[in-house]
Amino acid sequence: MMLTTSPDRPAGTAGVPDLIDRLRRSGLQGRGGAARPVAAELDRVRAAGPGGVVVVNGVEGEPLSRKDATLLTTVPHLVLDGAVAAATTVGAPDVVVCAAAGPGLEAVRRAAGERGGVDGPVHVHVVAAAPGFVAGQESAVVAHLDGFAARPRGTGVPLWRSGLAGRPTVVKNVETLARTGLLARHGHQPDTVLLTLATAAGPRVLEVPAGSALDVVLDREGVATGAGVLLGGYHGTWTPSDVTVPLTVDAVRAGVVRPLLAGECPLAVTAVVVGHLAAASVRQCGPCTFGLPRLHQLTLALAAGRLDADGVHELRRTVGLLVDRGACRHPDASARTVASALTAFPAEVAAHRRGACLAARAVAA
Amino acid sequence: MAGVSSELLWALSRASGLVLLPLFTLVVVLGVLAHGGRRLGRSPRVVTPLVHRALALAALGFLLLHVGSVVADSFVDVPLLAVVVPFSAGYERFWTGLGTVAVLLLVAVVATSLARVRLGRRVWRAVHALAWPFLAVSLAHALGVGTDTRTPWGLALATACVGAVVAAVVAGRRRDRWRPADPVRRPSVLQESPR
Amino acid sequence: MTELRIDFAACDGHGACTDLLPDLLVADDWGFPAVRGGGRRAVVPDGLLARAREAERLCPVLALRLGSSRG
Repeated sequence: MMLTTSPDRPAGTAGVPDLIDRLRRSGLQGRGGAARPVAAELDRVRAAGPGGVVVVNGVEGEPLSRKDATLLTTVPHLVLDGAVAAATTVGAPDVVVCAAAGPGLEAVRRAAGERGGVDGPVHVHVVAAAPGFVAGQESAVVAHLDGFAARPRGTGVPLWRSGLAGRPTVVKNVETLARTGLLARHGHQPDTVLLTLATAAGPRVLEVPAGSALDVVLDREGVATGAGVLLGGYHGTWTPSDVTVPLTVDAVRAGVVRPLLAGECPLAVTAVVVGHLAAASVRQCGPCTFGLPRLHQLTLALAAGRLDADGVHELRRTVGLLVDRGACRHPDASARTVASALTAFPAEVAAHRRGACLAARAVAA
Repeated sequence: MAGVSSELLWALSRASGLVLLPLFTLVVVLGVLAHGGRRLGRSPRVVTPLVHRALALAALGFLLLHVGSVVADSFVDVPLLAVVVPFSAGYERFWTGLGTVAVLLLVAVVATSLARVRLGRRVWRAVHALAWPFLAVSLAHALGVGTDTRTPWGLALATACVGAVVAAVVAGRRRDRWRPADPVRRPSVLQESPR
Repeated sequence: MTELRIDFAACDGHGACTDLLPDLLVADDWGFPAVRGGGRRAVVPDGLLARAREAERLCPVLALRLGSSRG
């Protein structure tokens, strides 16, 4: 398991020669939400030439996520080992760790100072992140590190060609690099997924075997689900409680599991989520600046039972206006989350169209 | 014969010069409106940038006439070279020279606009901003070298042109600046090249 | 296959493109272009290629790009 309690020390992973092979054999996918194969990405940056940068993305803009902060506070050296191993593999002399202000940032800063000369030619920098949901998007992190506002790039030059300070850059999530660190140290990493379970008592970080059934995990954790679960964070997908989902990397994305409480209405929670996403927009494109507030307005009305059939049609149309549009994936992913709510809870939507709420009635009964 | 044709050329250069003043003013006004996404009346949105481009090219034609007639006119000492080398003419060296500066600025603006897609937004915008000094220098040239511009109605025309541009900038700008301003840039965490 | 890509970080909703290419693009509620039928890129049939180039050239903020699709 990754969340080990053994003391965390640097293991001198600068210069693991076959790291990309190890990554390819393990099939490691990114844990920042996009789940891209890590071997191919490192290979591409390596091919772009020496002098690049490895950015450790610990921004964790998902409000319910705690897994990256947990890794930074408990195993910062493991994370740095992975980052340094990746850096030497792609010929990058610099690693920049970007994390939100807090215990995680302090822990990795302390760890970076403790490494002595173990990292060879690689220099580790630690920088505080900009706040906000969108600030965790990889090109937004690079923009922030470069001294600009934390806004994602639109179309244009990819990061692996020209990123931080114009150098070839690869941005990887904290957990991805921790797993890379395990591969560099031991040649293998556990086939698990790291989750942040959002419970009524607060967030709980757990590690489960990949592919575990969602309902089994929730049952074991003693969390009763109401109408369903939001899987993957605020850009995730709603799943009704009568459907079981295998917790693969592709399914969990950013790893947040947000079950509904008994009597909690999925449409009300969706409205809160969209409100947060709309407020988090960096307002650099039309669809996001104008479309997301409108989406919020409509989902609020639906949650409050004030939307009739025409209104729901208007909501679906607005969702359609945001899908596949915008300077980055923020408006698109936000719209897809709303779409998943409409798909997962059709009876609840129908009830709200009549001004009623099934979830509330279930509790009252 | 030479005297008659010189009279004609002189009249042509003055007339074309006078037309160019409101013409280029209109081009700039349309450019400001196009930048602000403004319609002309109730016409389709594409009309504004379309007419801006068409008029600019028409004005370029008039400019050729203006410059050509001045150069061809043997009465005033403005050799062909003076069209591209500022302050090298014998006639009204300074004011004619300003006209040359205006031509050079315009060539830069038009040439980059014809290749704007290939040049990209940043380069194109930077060079296109030369339209403002172009207009100012053109106006100075017209007032300094033009015998007609210093008449009462000539001054009125010049004032109207300046007024039109100011009005366009004030009223024709983008209606709502919905994008937040860029914060002041901080230094990058890393230098351009690796240590 | 020629595609038209919209750079939303530059787009200001001027609407010249939706005027020129009504078969390919439609303005959303706020004037920004959307590809008809959805998707991030508009496939440009040969018959509309000249118009698409005009739209690319006329966009006041150069937010349109014509290119060939990869694969």
